[in-house]
Amino acid sequence: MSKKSVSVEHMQQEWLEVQAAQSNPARFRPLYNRYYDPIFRFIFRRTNEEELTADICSQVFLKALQRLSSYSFKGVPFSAWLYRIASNEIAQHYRASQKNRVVSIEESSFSDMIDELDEPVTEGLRQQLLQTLDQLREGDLQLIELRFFEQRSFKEVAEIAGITENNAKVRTYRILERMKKKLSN
Amino acid sequence: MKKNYKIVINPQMPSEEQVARHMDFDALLEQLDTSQSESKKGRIRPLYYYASAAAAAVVLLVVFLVSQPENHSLQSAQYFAERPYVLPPIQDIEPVFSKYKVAVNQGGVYEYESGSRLVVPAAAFMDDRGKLIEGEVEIHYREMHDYVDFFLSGIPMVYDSANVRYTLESAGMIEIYAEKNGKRVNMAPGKHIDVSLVSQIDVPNINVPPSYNIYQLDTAARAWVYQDIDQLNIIDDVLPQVDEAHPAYSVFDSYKQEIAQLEAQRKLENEALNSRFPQPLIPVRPQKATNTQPTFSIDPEDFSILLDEASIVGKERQLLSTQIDNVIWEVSPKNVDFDTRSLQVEWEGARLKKLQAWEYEITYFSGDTEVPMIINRVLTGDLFSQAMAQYEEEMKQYQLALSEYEAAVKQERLSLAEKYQSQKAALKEAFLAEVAAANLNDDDLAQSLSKRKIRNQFRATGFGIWNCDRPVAPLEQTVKAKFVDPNGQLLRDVPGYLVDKTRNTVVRFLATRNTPIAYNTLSDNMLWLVTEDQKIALVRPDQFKAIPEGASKHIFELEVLEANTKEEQEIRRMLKF
Repeated sequence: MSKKSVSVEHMQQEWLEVQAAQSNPARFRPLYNRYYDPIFRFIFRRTNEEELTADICSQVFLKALQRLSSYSFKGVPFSAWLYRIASNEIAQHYRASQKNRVVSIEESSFSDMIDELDEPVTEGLRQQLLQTLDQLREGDLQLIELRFFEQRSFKEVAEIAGITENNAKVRTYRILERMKKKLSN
Repeated sequence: MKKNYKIVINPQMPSEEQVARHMDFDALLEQLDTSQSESKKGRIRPLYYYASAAAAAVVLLVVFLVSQPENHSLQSAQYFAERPYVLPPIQDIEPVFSKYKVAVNQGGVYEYESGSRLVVPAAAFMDDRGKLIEGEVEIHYREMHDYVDFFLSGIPMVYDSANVRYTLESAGMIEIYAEKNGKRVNMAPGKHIDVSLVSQIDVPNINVPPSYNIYQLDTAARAWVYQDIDQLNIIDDVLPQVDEAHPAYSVFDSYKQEIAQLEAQRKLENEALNSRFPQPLIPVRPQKATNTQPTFSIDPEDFSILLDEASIVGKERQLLSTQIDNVIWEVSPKNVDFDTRSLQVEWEGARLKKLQAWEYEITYFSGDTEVPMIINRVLTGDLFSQAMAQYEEEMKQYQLALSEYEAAVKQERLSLAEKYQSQKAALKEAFLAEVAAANLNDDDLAQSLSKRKIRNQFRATGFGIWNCDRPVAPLEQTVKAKFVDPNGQLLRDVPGYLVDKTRNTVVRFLATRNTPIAYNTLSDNMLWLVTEDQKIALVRPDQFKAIPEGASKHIFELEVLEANTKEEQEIRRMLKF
């Protein structure tokens, strides 16, 4: 599983860029260029519609710029803050549209998850697992998505979800345990 | 069962190009502007009320102030708040800027006349919209070293910390900015200019190295902002200038000559050492074609003419001549505004010049038209693999030769440095003993002997004013001062400046009826006001010495100098003490 982590030096460097942007929004350009693509993909995985994704992404960066003056460095990457805004915007979109939120799963990461559950892979199990995922609460599903379907490290999962790394681990494995129990019933 | 999510297996993720098509930072900025102006519209009425309330408060404050006895700190705060924070007191005279052109895609190292050095990285500038600047920018740079520079530049030297107002004593200050076509540009985030500022400071005790910090002036917040610790090194002694009429002239002159002889001898020995141990030459790594830059070839016949005319000789010439059929020339990305059509033109001739390693400059010309371009000699396929194999072998040999060289030469260099350091120290000791024996009774000379040339090193992470400073606590001896001209006429409501001879700073104040003046009773102090007609009204050190001990008030009688204040040298002469 790939590990994505950001060094302290990089975070501090980025904080300087954020400070520059706080005094002049035009200086936000390097951050925009750096994070547009990952934020776009993050949203796309949850909408599966390109134009809708572009609209939400544009809202995410607009809100980020509008709230930038209140942003302060708390030892986590700036991207985590953007992902949280994106999560809120996606949730807001689905609340307003009253549609079901999209969950994107690659076949390979789906298999990884089945491995983690320590269950034999059968078509029946796949169907059961999809049903179990469908019954998860939004917060729980987000952890599973970030960890297994987007292959993020627990550190990054924690930063995006706004919880501690340890808490992210504990919660993820509790969700897996619950899923396992449902699958065996 | 009701579905809660729409699960998509193996979604078709958008390509990079698809994502990039939606990126538009300029549109985002416009959206931001629109959203901000809309939110302001909603506040017109409350702002109107606030403005009215503020106006009423100002009226009340003015009424209150008029009815009160004169309050210096309020008046002073109001006076300076109404003016720019950096306020040159004398029109048209302030330390001048030097200008350097910088090729943005290369950056560069720039030496200032004082010995200071600026290292500008590549791609370090952007415009107001955050777009990287290309081509050339002009760096504007100036240094300020002493109280006259600080006075003329109008840069305040106060630093508020924990409700205490300190004065900043400087070990050198710079101001730096950059322009593209006359318009100021910004430093790109994450970029910085390495500054190595040569200056002079008093170091009375060589065993206690001085300690300074780096501050940047925030003109919007009207405050110095601490940035870092100053990486300060003493690099040499500073020998004062003594004219021939001075009783100690012969002592100074012979010391200077001895030092010069010693330096010449040291240079000779260094050169001898270098020729005994020649440093191995680092092999040059071959260049592989990038496949992204335009390439072209040169006709072998034309090329031999080019080689004849260019100063390319020896092994390299031989190599180029024999390989000419296989050489590919690639247009360097260093070329700004390169037009590929220039490669399709039939030119009358060309000139070739070697720049470095595999890099050349070729200038095509026809009549008066010349098109210079930087090109790289690149290799492809097997030729590159063979050249790389040879390079790696040469690199191994070079590393070996370098280790042997370092081992052999290191101890020799160290011994040489120690030998000259001790000889120099012995000469200085003898010189100081001679100066002391001459019993000159010259305080200025004694003080100037403790001056050292220093190098302050720091990173300027933005443009503006950067200062190598240390905060000095306020002095305790304070008198409430009034200032009068020789006719007894009160001088007030003009800026004043106070200097303590032992501190490299200047304190700016507003002259009022009861100005608190904190001065150093153990040193010489000098004070001056700049009158409305741009004259300097001066209080010399003797008047400070004449203030009775324990006095709480004093009337300073100022000497209004009639001299020309349009020349920096003239002002320096007036303010020398």
